[in-house]
Amino acid sequence: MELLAQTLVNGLVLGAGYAVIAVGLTLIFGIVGIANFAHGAFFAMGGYACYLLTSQGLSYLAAVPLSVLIVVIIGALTEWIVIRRSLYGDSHHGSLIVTFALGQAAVAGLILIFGPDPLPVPSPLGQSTMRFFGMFVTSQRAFIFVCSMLVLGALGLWLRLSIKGQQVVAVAQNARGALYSGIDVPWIRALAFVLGVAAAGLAGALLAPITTIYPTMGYSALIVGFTVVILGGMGSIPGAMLGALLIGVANALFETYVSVSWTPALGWALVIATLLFRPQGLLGQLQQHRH
Amino acid sequence: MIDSKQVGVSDRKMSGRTAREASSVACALIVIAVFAYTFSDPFVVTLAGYTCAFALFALSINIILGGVGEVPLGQCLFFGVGAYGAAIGMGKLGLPFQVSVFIALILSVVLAAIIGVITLRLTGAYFSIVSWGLTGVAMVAATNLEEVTGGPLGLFGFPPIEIGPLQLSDPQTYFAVTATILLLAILFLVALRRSPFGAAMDSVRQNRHLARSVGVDVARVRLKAFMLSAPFAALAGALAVPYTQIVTPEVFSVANTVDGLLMVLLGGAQLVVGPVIGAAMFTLIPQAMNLDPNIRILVFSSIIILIMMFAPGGLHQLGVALRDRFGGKTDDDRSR
Amino acid sequence: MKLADRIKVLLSAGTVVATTLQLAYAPSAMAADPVKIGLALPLSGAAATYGQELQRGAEYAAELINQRGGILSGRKLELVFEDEKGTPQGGVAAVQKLMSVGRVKAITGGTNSSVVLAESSVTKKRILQVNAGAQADAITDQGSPWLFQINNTVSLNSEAFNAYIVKTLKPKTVAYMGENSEFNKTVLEKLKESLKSAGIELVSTSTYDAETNDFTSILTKIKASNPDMIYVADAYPARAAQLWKQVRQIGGFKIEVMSPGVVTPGMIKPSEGAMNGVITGEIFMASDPGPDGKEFVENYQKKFNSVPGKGELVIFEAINLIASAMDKAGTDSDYDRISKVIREGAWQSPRGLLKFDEKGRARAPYFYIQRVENGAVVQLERVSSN
Repeated sequence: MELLAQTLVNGLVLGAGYAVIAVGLTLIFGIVGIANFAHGAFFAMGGYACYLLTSQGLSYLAAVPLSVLIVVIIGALTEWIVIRRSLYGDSHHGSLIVTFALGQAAVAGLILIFGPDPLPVPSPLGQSTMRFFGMFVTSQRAFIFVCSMLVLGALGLWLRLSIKGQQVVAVAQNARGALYSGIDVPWIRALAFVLGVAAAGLAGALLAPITTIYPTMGYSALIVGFTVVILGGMGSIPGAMLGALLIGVANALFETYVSVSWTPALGWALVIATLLFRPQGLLGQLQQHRH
Repeated sequence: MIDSKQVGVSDRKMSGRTAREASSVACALIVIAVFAYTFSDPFVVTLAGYTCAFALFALSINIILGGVGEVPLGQCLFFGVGAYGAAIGMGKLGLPFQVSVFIALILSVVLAAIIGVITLRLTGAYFSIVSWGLTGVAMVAATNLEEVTGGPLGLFGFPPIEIGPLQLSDPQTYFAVTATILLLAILFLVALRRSPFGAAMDSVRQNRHLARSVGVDVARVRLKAFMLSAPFAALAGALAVPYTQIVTPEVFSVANTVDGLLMVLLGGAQLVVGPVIGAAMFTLIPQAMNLDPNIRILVFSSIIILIMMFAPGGLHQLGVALRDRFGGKTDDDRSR
Repeated sequence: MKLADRIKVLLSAGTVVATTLQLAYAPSAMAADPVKIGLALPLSGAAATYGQELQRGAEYAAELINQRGGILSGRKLELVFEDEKGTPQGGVAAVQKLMSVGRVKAITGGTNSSVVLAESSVTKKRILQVNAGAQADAITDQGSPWLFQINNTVSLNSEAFNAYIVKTLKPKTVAYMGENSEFNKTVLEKLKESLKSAGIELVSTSTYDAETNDFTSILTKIKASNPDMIYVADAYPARAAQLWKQVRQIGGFKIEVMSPGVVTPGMIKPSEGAMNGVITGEIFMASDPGPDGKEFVENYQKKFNSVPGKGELVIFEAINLIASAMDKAGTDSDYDRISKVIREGAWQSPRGLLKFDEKGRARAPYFYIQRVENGAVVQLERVSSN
């Protein structure tokens, strides 16, 4: 019983980390209309930015927001130089290949700059654990959980209550209609892209002390992000959160009670099962053609 | 540009084209024979053979990319099925190479049918992501199903690989076999593009909704194309085995698909032989300029981004644009 | 263009290309040439760090041999390097290029077992191959007469290390966790054997995928079974470092060991102290090399200003073995004779005398039991294998 409770807690905490990655991905898909295969690269950049800043003597807690800022700048430049030029046209598969290539290039760049070896990111919360009701959570993971809930909550409120947020929602629902009603759609798309990669960067900075950083760290993040997003419904933010928690808990349960070696296939099995019975994902809307 | 050939080719042009094609095929055959005969250096000849095998894989990717306009990130699944099929058939079941390959090809088509039914009703991104994910599942399965796949170390130590009297361990024979199969595949694909099914694929790629409105069964065309592409990839995987002599779960790595995609994009997706040209460039360039692989990835990725931004049809498109501008000559037959 | 012209042009173009390529790859064999040794190494990609280590060790070995006047009455040793990219197909291409373009007389290198297995299918009965670093038993299980292995195989290493676990550490219950790799498959099998024969219970086994980076669930499960000892098998530094951090976070275990031959400074450093107290095993220790290795370590340190690692050591031994065996056999291409000489002789190395068995495997003369303390390994015990 205790093992079960601990496993569920592990799963929820794990899922909270996935949620930040997935929300960025789903935001970009919903508003920009592209599957961002470079998402993992921005995740890694968040981790590396955090490493650079902490190795300059900055404290981890100050380094996290600054890392996000660095990723925002890189993301905005990417959007401006590459994404908007090659993707908003008619090219159906262009976005996929371009973001994929961007991701590959970023990983190669990270290897050239920092080398292939893993690097540690120190956190003051690093080694301590918190205990409650006989269960334990490491402080860093508790921090990730809290940050993730705060950020996702803030994003949800912003989308619902602010004017800009409402414009973002409008573009997601009907880009052409939004354009006709005077919304600056290209600007909103740029904003969504930058917000999305900022979330990826934040996730990278948050997870860096737990996972250590290495150039290909973004691959598993990207894979998890996609499974979560498809499970929850591409473009749906609540779907991404639900999917993340579901996959986190499912993975933890499966690892504890069934088999560790088959766990990596579990997420995809869930995705396939979902697609068979509910092709739009758990909370997704039926597909509208975007191209 | 592509469709013009189907509509406006006059009889005179047609016969000219047939002659030219026959001459191209004859030349290709002669080049294969001359190459296999003159080169005794096993390094050059087997590498050329392997390149031909991998070019088949690029062709398979292009059936989907250039054919119906989806990005098949999971195509290495079929490559792996071919490689494991050949390896398991020969190593575990003691079947002849060609029988093992034949079984693997059938298996790949069945697999494509199942996967296609699930994934192809979805739009581009879904299809790409889910098929990519399935290769991850395949890799996990190959690593864990030790009795069948040899586990993480894979399968190796095969008996001499032969097709009837043809010894594939002999470099020149290996090259001649893979090159001939590649040539046959190209001929088949050229014929396919000109068939009604090729036209249907074109229409689906260019505008799915329009195609549907004029009575093309879009889902069926997409599924057929997917099932058609699978055995090409499986054949490529199987033909790579005599070269690598080992099959590990890494064959399911997305890196393989990326290499194939690169070949297609370098050579041009709208050209049947584009992927083959791409494969040749892809093999020759690194041999010629010994770059650090990370710099190479950086360079290749940047090239891809630039191609997608300025010449989505591949480098071939740039060439055509330049020729049209400076040469003033137009060619009615750009699909080859 | 007319049909005939077209064929002519294509043909002549083909001939030109063919001739150029043939010229480019033409052999240039002359008498009293240096003896060329080919090294297929991962000089790029994820394993590039290993490749660079091996390259340095090989160059050092060749330099010393040439200073002594070379082999086979005055012929110098020349090394030819080729990148095998860490993949089987890269290995095949590299070895073939070394053999046909580089005209080498022997092949060495080797870090990844799958790559060496692929290479050995090319070299089998065609050229002498000495695998310096790769550890899978399968490589030499095939029984290729001209193939030799310097490093301990996984099972040799495991046997030596498990003996220490069973006899000295004496845990009552053991939990195993490790990456699902070719390497750890043998590690786990050997562990099961040793524990069973000693009556020790293996309470839990978890093998995880290469992409795994969260071990909380696995560790929670292991912790619930409350073992005396945890055995971790993972050769990848980044993952192992974070694994040990997570072990520390849940409070650790009474005895903690790691599979032999995988602990490196690159793993200890990012673990930020989490690996302190972990016990492991190795075939060589630069900090305590024994009488035979002292000279090697000191001279190497003087020259490169760094301590030689295992990679540098095994390739150093491989180059020396090839050179001395060719010298003793009096030939650089009669491989039957060279192989016979290798099998029958005992070869001086920094680790002591190396002897090769029927399958071509050397057994490390000594096996070191080590513990991680304050970010470095210290020796607990040195076990003689003879």
